[in-house]
Amino acid sequence: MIKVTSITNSKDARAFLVDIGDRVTDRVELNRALAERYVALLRDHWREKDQKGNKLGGERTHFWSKAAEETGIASVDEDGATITVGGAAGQQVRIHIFGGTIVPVVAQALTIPIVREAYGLRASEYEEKTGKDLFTFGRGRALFEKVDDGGNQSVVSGPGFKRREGIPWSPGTMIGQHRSIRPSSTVVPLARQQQLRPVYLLLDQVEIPADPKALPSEDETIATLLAAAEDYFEFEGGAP
Amino acid sequence: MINFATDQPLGEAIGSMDRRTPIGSMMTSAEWERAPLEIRDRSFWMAKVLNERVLAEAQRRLLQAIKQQRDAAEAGGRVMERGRFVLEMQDILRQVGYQPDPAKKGTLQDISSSRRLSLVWDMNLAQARGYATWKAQQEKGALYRAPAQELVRVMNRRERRLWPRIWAALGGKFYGKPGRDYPEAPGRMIALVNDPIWSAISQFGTPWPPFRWGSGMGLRSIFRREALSLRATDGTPLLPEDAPPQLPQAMPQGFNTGLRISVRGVQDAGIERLRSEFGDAVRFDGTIASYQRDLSPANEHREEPVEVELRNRARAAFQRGEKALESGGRERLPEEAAREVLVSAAAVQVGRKRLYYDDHGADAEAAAELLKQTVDRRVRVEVIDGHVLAWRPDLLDLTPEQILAMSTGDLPVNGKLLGYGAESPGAIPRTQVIIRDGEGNVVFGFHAPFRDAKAFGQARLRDWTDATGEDYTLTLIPMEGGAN
Repeated sequence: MIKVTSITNSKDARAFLVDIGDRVTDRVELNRALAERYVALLRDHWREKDQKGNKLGGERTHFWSKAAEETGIASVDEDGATITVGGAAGQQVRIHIFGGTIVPVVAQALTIPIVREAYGLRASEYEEKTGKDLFTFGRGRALFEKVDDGGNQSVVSGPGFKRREGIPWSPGTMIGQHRSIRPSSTVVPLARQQQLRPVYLLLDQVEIPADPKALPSEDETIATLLAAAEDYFEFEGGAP
Repeated sequence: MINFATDQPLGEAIGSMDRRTPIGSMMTSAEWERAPLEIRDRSFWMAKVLNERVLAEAQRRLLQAIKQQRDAAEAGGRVMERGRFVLEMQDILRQVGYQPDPAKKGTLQDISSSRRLSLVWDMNLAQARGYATWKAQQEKGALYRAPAQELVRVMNRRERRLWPRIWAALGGKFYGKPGRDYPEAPGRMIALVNDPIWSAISQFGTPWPPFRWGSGMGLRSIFRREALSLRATDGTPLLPEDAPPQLPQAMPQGFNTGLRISVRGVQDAGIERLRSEFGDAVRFDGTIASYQRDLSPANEHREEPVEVELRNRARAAFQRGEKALESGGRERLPEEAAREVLVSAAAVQVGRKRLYYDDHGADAEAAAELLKQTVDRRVRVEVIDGHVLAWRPDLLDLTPEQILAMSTGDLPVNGKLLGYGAESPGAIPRTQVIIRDGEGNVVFGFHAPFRDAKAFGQARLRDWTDATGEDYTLTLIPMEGGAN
C-alpha cells in the first residue's frame, strides 16, 4: 500500500514522504513522476490565486501566475526531487509563503502605492505614465501629486510645511521636494489651496504576513502525490 | 522536497537566454517574428535597437534575474527585478545618448519608456521559462506521463482574444465540457504535447507560451489517465490506447528551411555573429538573409542543433586535413602554417568564413593540395602565381580573378571576406586581435575595426576551437590612434 505523509514544514523546505512499501521500481523515475505532479498542482493553485485582483483594484502584476510559470523541477535523484520557483518570481514567492520583513536596500524608503493607478509601478514609472511630478513635504512620509480636485489634503499654512530657505513667503512659493530618480531634488511650487493627493506611502520597512493559502493544503498535496504514485505503478510498472 | 531555502534556477531557462547573441538591427517586432525560429532562438534582439551595448546590458540583467543571482554584498546584494531593470536600462540609454522622438515619448515606440522596457522584461522572461518547461516535457517519461496539454488562460486580460476561434481555424480539436475561460467554446482546447498546433497558434512559431504579445494564455498538463479518457467533439480519442509513444524533440518542429529575413540595418558585427552562429545555414543576399539548412537524409548531421552540426563538420574537415598531413603533407608545409590552413579551410567549409587567401609562394601547390584534402567539393581551391584561394562559390559569387584583384596590390580590400571586419588592414580606428593557444603561443592574428573587434575576434576564435577541439583565448589590443 502506498502512503504519503508530510515530514517537514519548516521555513526552509517542505517535504513529503511517499512510502511505496517493498515495491521495486526505478526510484529516480518515480521521484520525477511525483515531482511533475506536484509542479502541476502548484501551478494550478497559484493560477487560481491569480484570479483574485489586488486590493487597490489597480493594474495586475500577475505575481502568482508568473510564479506558477517559473515553477519547475530543479533536480531528481534516488532520494527525492527538488522543485524550485525560478526567475524573478522565485525571489519574491518565499516571503508570501512564510511572511517576513522587507526593508529598502538602496533607496531610503519603500514606496507603497495607495492609489489604484500606482499599483505595480515604481514612483518614477508612475511619473512617466501620468506625466505628473511626485513630491514630499512636511515630514516626508508620503509622495504626493497635485490634483485639480478630489485631493484629500490642501496646502494651507501650518506647521507641517517647510518653507525653502531664502525664499520669501507667498502663496506661490510653497514647495515640495521632488522625489524623482533625478540626482538632485527640484523645487515644486505649490499654490495656496492647491489640492494634493498622496500616491505612495514612504516606509522604512513593511511587514508581510504569511499567506496561509500560499501553498496547496497538506491534504490536497497528499492526495495528489498518492494519485501520482498509483498512476505511476499502474501505467509504468514496478513490481508489487 | 520543495526547497525554499536555496535559489535554484531552472537550468534550461538560463540556457535559453545565455546562448543568445546580441544582434543590433532596425527590424521591427513584426519583422523579427517572421525571421526563422532558429535565428530568433539564438539572437537577443529588441525591435529597432541597433546599439549592441544596450542589448548586451539588457541581456545581462535578464540573465541575472533568471539565475536569481544577487549583486555582490558590497554592492548591496540586490536581486534583479522588473523595476530595477527599467531604471538601469533607462540610465544606460541616457548614457548612449538615446533621445526618444518627443511625439512618441512614453509610448511603446520609445525604447526608454517604462512600458517598452517592461515588455522586454516580461516577454524575454516568459520565453525563457516557456522554453524551460517545454524542454522538461521532452523527457521520454514525462511525455508518457503527461502526453497532452490544455490551452488555458493564466492571466486575465481586459480584452480577450477569441482563442477558441483561432484554435479551430488552425485545426485544433475540442475535448470535454468547455472550461471557465471560454464557456461558449465547444470544449477544452487540448492537444498532444508535440502536436504541431502549438507552434501554429504562436505568433512566434514556438510550441511554448507566450503565444502572442500580451495574450495571457498558458499551458496546463493533462496526465495520462485523463488523456486516455478524453474524446473530441467528433468522437475521436485524444490518446488511443494503442497510440505509439510521442518521440522527444531535441528542438521544436517548425525550424523551417527556406525562410527569409530582412537584415536591413543589421551592422557588420551582427552579420558576422549570424554567420558565426549559423555558418552555411544562413545565406546573405543584400539585405535579405535566408535560412537554408540542409535537412535532407544525405546530411548525417540533420538531427543535430545547428551549432553542433557546424562544430562536427568543422572538426571532421580539420581531421581530414590532419590525416593528409600525416600521410606526407607535413614535409611540404611548415607545421604552424599548416594548422592555420586547416582551421581556415574548415571555417570556409562550414560557411563561417567566406574566403581563405594567402600568398604561399613556393609552397602554394602544397598548401592547395592540403586544402583540397581537407574540404569537400563545395569548396573551390585555386592557385594563381603562388596565391592560394579557397571559397564556396554558392556563398561567394566572385571569380578567382576578382578575388585575386581584391587580395593583392598595395591596399588589399579582402578583409571582410576573410572575416576581419574591415575591407583593408589600414582601417582606423582599429584593434589588434590575437588568438593564443593554451600555452600562450600566438596562433593567429589580424586587425579589426575598433568597434567590432570583439565580434570578429570571437568569430575567428570559434573557427579555432571548433576545428581543433582545443581551447584558445582571445586578446584585443587597441592600436595607437585606434582607441577612443
